[in-house]
Amino acid sequence: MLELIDLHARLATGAGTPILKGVNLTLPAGEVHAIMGPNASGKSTLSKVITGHPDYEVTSGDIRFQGESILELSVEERAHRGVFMSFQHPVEIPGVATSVFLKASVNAVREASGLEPLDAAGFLRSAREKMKLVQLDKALLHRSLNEGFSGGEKKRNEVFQMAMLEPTLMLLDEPDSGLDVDALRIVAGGVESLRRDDRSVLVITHYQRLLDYLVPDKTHVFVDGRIVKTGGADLAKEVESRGYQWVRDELKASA
Amino acid sequence: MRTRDHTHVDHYAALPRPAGRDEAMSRLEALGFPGRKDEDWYYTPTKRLLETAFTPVVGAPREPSAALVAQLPEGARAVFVDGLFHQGLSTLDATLDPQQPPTSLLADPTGFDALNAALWRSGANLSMKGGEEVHLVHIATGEQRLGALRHRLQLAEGAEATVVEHYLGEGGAALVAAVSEVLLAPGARLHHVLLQQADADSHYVHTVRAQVGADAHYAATSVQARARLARLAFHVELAGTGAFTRLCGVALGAGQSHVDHHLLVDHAAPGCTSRQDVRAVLDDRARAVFTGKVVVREGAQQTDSEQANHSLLLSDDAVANTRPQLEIYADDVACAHGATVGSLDADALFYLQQRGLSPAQARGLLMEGFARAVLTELPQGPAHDLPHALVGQWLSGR
Repeated sequence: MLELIDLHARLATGAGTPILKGVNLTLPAGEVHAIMGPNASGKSTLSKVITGHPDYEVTSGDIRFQGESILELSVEERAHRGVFMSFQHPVEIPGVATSVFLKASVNAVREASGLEPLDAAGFLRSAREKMKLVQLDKALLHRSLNEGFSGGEKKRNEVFQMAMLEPTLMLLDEPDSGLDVDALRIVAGGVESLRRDDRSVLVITHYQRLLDYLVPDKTHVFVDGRIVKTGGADLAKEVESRGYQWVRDELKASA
Repeated sequence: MRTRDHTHVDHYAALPRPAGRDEAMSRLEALGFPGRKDEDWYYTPTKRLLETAFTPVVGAPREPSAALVAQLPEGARAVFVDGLFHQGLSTLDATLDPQQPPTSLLADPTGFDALNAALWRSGANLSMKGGEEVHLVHIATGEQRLGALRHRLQLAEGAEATVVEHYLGEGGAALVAAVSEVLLAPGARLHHVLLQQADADSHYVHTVRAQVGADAHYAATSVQARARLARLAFHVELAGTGAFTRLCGVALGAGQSHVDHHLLVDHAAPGCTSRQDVRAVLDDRARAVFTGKVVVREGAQQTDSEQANHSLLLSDDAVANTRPQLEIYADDVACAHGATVGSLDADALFYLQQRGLSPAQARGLLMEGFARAVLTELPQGPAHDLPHALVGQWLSGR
């Protein structure tokens, strides 16, 4: 599904500070992988680089998605192929109704895949159905996108959009930040319900508690721009209880 | 004030000159047209306009093109061409008598308002009892013609009505000098929509003078979409306790166009509320000017006033000037104002592209959201649909 091969990236502007320093990762179809790491380790940058964010420049290595390099594809072309990132901080867009935005978005992705665009009725039917998945009030469809939404509503809105767009790669950038336990359960449950054998999840988080609901096949520890340790679901629990220093110490000892 | 006058008013020498006209002409001759030295016109250059000789039409109104006639709104409408009433295109016959002297609301006009006072020949005279929905259409046919138009809109106590003014044009340079007088009796509610899509080489100068009675409600919405120079001035007096006004506008500028929204809200009575929200979307070398003045008179306690002016620049050469002006002579008042000038938000663009929209679609959606935010409180019907259509049409050309 997704292969990161010795991926190096830096900020495209200013001093061009390197952020990703040789990331190697293989995420097979149908699996959930978690990435945990301390603040400023570059783990959020990793998901943005996979989406093609213009603030970052890949200096070497490759991103292969479904067997092909996607480095040359634009942000929207990657989205059309099924790359979806749920934002840590979803952007508020005043004046643009959620329904207007999402219908344009769904139809852009459908058209890129050679499908007929949904008409207004078909879109609304599908939207109402999928909002139930994350217990969102359908009145939100008529409100400006994310404007004045609570933290929980914004995160659930991300999962709702994901359900509408049916991506094959779900990049979840700290989907748990700012959520109480109930909201966390709804978000994780929404993601869990979208899992399929031909879809993969890469979830970036600080906290193990999300992974109680969304159990990873593998956990990667991300320190200073690369993956330094990989394990199973238990590794996440170990990181939660011991922090990251022991991983750094191990790293030093082996160097 | 500039003292030159190229408007060729000799045609009018033979017409009867009722009270106020000669005085207005004398004032115009003595004081001239506004220029850069006038505070109120500081950012709006009149030089190019005053160097062109504009000529009033004498006799029957011209026939506008079939394309423009096809654009005329359905329903009750009065159509004016170059300042003259066009009976054939109108479904409504309610014109203001040009012999009539001005009311006190329009006393002592200067500049373009004085030109209007001296030369106006026609306009609508609407005394509304409630439930009306009226379109007032002005068509400028270009070729350096002058259209001086004067409307009087009056609403009876407790009446609610909608008036949509359309300014259309073709044929290149023209000057429209319009004045609308709005008188709202206590408890009346007027939705006043002003849509300008004149010729890209034309000039449009319009003053709306409104007096809002106790608990009356004056909501005006302006969409300025085309003229080379457009200046729309509101002077709204909140004259009775509990009066309310909301003045919204969006300046859509491309090419070399210049749009000036000049707002003055005069809180003359206690317990009145005013809202101003004017936006601009500017491309190429376009410029938008906003002046929002709020005067709170002595004794106008419990005044509640808010003002916002936001500009979106799509090009490095576009310019937005914003000037909030507050004059407060009472102590128990709440007056807020805010202004921003910026380009499209990069984070929002990325978010939309991550959801599959092309850069052009993402930009379009953000521009729409920005521009339409001032059109959210319009009543159902043409007062809602027409401004939205004009904004949509303009944005689809970006």
